[in-house]
Amino acid sequence: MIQPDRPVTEDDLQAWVDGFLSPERLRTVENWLESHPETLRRVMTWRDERDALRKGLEPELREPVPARFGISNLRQRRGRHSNMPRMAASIALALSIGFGSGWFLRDRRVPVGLAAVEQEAAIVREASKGSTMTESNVAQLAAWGGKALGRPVQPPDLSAAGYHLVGGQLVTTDHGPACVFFYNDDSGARISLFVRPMYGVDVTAPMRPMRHLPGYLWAQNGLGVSMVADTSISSLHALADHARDLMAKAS
Amino acid sequence: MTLRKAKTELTDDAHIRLQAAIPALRRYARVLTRDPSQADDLVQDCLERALTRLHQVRGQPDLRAWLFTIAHRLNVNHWRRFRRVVSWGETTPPEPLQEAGQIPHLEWQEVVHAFGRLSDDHRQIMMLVGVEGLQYGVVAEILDLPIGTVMSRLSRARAALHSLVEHEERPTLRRVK
Repeated sequence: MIQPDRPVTEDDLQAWVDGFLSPERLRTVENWLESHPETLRRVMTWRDERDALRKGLEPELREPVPARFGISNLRQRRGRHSNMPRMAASIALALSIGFGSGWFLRDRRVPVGLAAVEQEAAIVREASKGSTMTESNVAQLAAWGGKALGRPVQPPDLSAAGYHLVGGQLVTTDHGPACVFFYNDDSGARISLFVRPMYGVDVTAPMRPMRHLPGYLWAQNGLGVSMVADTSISSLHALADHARDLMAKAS
Repeated sequence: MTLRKAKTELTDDAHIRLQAAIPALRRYARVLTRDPSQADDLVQDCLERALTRLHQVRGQPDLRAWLFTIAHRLNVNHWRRFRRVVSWGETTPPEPLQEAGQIPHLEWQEVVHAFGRLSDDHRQIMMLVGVEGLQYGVVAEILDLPIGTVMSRLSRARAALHSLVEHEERPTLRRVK
């Protein structure tokens, strides 16, 4: 049980300013403040500044809300695939990849093998959010990807597991071109599958979890592959196994 | 039929709660991004995500904390990285937001100005605790921090704000000496 007369702490002073003290604790703290006028002045100033900040920032709440934030507009936008956002996203992607490599080069060590695939997949996943090609273009993407990667690339069909292919992109990395495919399930949860050829290192490698993202990483038949989820999904490991099996069958 | 109707009503109610929280979300997004148009892009991202997850907040009257959590994560994961890319040459933080006709009263202006000069972490905590009045535990969840860190950061933020306000009030007096 909390002693109402335990010594007054810095946290109590913050809670005094914010009005979060229980009535008993408030009495104790205020008694203590009476005999510490210096601290009393300090907390009163904090409270005054908090009030001033509230008043000063209050007009922002009264600004008219732009029409784009109306529910129906948000709905429409989600279903729309126009060229402009895609183009903007591609530029962002290109910049991010440039930025990413520059950033990693600062460490004077460009990772190789699966470690490199892991970094690239992470960057691409961040940079390409909300930018996907339409499904009808995926076949073309696979063809481009096949050409660019120098070998056929086919996104595995994960619909049996509830994930439907919604798009993909051809991207460039420090280690040449790569394909990234996006899948959604019915609740809107998204995963991405990043694929690129491996050169010399980790041409085949067992599956392992990614270090900083909910995802798995492996290499098969000279392709480095990673599967990343936007939010952690308990079935992700099984889904990655499934994708690996399907890709092994296809090749 | 009735089930469908009940579901529609539930969704409508959720939409109303979502709309009600938008002004606060925009204000928080401006704290996160320091740029009104980037802030609105973040708000849009956040609302689109929220729309697909409204089932998570069934029966929750105030959606602010939930939306702030989404906005904070989006900002950490995506926008911050993107912003580093696009604002390559930016060195000085922009002035705090003030639009014509919305200039605060003079006594508040100093504090708002000082607030704009705080670090990102300090501005966030002052906004969530001081301005929005959210409980410490809620803020700890939004920022994904232990509560002890929230408390110490809050204490430092208040001290920093006060010293900026003090400093701004009498710069000339100090120089006269």
